[in-house]
Amino acid sequence: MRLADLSFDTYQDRLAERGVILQTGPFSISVKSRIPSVIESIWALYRDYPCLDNQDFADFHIDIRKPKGIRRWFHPQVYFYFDDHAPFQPLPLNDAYPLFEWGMNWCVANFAHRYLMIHAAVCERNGKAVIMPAPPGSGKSTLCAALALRGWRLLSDELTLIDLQNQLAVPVPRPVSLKNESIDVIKGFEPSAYVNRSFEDTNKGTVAHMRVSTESVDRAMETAKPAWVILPKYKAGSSLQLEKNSPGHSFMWLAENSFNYSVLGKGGFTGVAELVDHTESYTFTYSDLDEAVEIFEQLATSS
Amino acid sequence: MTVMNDKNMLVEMLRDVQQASSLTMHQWDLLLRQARESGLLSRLSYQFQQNHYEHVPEQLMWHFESAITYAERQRQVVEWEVRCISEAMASLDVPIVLLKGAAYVMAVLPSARGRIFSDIDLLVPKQQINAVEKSLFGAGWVTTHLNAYDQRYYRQWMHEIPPMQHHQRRSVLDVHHNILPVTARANPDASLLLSEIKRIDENKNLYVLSPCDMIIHSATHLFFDGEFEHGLRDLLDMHDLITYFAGEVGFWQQLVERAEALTLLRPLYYALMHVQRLYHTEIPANVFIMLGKGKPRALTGLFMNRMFELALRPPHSSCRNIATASADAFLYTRAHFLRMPLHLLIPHLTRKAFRPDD
Amino acid sequence: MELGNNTHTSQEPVPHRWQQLNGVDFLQRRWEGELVVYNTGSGDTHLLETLSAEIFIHLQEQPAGLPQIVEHIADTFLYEVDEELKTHISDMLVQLQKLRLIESETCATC
Repeated sequence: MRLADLSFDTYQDRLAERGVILQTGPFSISVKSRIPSVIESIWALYRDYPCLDNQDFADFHIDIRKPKGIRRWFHPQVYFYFDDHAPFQPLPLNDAYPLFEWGMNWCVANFAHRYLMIHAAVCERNGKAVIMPAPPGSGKSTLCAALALRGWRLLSDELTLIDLQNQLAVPVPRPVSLKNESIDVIKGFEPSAYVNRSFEDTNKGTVAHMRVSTESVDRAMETAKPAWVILPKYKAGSSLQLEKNSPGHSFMWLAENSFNYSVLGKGGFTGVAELVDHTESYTFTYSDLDEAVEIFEQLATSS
Repeated sequence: MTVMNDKNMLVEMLRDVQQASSLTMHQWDLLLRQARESGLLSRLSYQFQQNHYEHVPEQLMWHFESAITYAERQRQVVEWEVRCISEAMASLDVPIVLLKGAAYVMAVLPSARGRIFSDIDLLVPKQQINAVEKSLFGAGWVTTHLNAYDQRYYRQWMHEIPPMQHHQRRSVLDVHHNILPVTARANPDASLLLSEIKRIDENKNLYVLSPCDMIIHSATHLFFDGEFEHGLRDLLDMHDLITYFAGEVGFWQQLVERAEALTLLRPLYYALMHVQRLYHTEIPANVFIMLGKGKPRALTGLFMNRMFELALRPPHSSCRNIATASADAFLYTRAHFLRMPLHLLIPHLTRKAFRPDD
Repeated sequence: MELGNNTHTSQEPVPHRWQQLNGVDFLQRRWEGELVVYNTGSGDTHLLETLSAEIFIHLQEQPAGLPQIVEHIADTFLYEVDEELKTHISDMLVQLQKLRLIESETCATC
């Protein structure tokens, strides 16, 4: 059953009371909230996701709620609750939905040590996956969104999960988070894409989320074999450049951009080493999104 | 087999993982959350692993495997930190006595399995604490709590120097010269503790407390401290230690005599009562008789035990209600009183409330 | 910290022998001129290149003093053995020691 199969009223009631359980890749998330922006945004962005109606178990229990006391109304705030406690300081109420998305990333990154987890986008084409690790501001999310809109299957825009047993990338498809200029860039790139409302003045600027394709959600249980590690660098006015990275540098990039490389110990080292051995690594400088997508297409069809 | 309900489930599972066969999915959901909140998820996970994950639903497996991975990393960190501490103090002729979690790991005791902890606790002789602090500083650990008030709180009234944090690795050391503050109602003689320490490494100055002292320390730490969030875990440590060492001849006699010498009969009494109640630890009946003057007066005893019983429930909303909240509050206030007499207590508490968060 | 004049006392250098850090296991992977090393004790990971990689691998096989290491490097990379090379390698050894990959011991018979 998908979320869209519920009536809005039923959905809203459940979200307020016992929680709605959504399946995102390998994780079932129980969500509760009574905040309008959260209610509406989840309804719009997660309509295709499996909704586990009568399940008694969820991997994570999340509650997005307003505090009691004065901050409920005066400069209102919102908390992200992970089960019984709030791991972060509260944010302004305006940021409630972005907080939900960041919080979900936090849950996975903090606990899912069955996987090597890299702060990177990952997309798949013709059975092969491209991993794009990059610090914020490199244009990774924009590029990832563009690829997803041009026939690539989205596995994730933030969390690359590598199963340590078989070295395959495990999807955790969730709405692509776009920031500031990239919101308009993507809307221009593909006007038919569904981009949810913007949330302004968050601590990352203006944030909006793009819904992922039904296909990406439906194929969430399908793993993919990583073939390339590409470090994107958006540089206005620059020409296209694809430079090969040495294995050693690729290794360090992956380890440094990993959430849990240290926690995994020997398993982390071996996991990254295997990944390096089985992928080609490039630094990719670009300024034009169409050109960038074309290069990726060539990569995907060449080998 | 005990009938399991939401409130006793965690303890029952820790006692015997075979009971997992009777859990519903809803109970599994709660168990996971309770274990995590109590700091016992990794421990529970090891127990499942030892039992080849029998009865564990497939979709939950990753939670337990993940918790084990995390605990393994903790162990790696502790072993390395202890190595670095030992190197830092190599030129001093000081015994480095590891306490609590770090002790269990380095002495390879059963309580080490799945142990999660934030700081490393050390005990050193009081007269050498300045030299120790200097050596640690030289090796990269920096004192925290830099304001004058906190510095005085620790150095004058407490049984430890302010925590030291390594500037690069971010590890935190708590260096004690006793197991209770100077201002506390009970005053164990630190030199007694130091006279019975056991060496754990022939090449380094690393020691742990004697088995009896480890148990008494665990009891004292729990019942004098205000915070019971890790109560179930601390009692489990005690259960493990007792089970491991109790086979030795004269153990119980020695334990009681030692507690008396350290003026810590009362916390030992409470600890043994509750560890037996929760974990069914085998404690011969005559031990409670031997504890004699350590026992509280009847009514006090009943009341205190009820308070502890409530506070020792898993710190998760599924097990907590108004009664447990009051017990927590009462015991927190009581613990503070036990550590610091009232006239010192009130200025301290007030100050904490009016200072901005560090 | 005291400020003082830089005094330079000339002394006989104390003979050192270098070896892989004692008491820990290492995991590593090698690609051409690169070596990534994982110290299972500290949990630290390092990327060593060309010269430093070769020095570390050499010391893993057997402990060695500076002269032997210089000779081995000169042979491997076809360098001239001169003061510059010796200083460079000496500095690298100090760096590798700081990274807790190798350690030195004074050795009367080196």
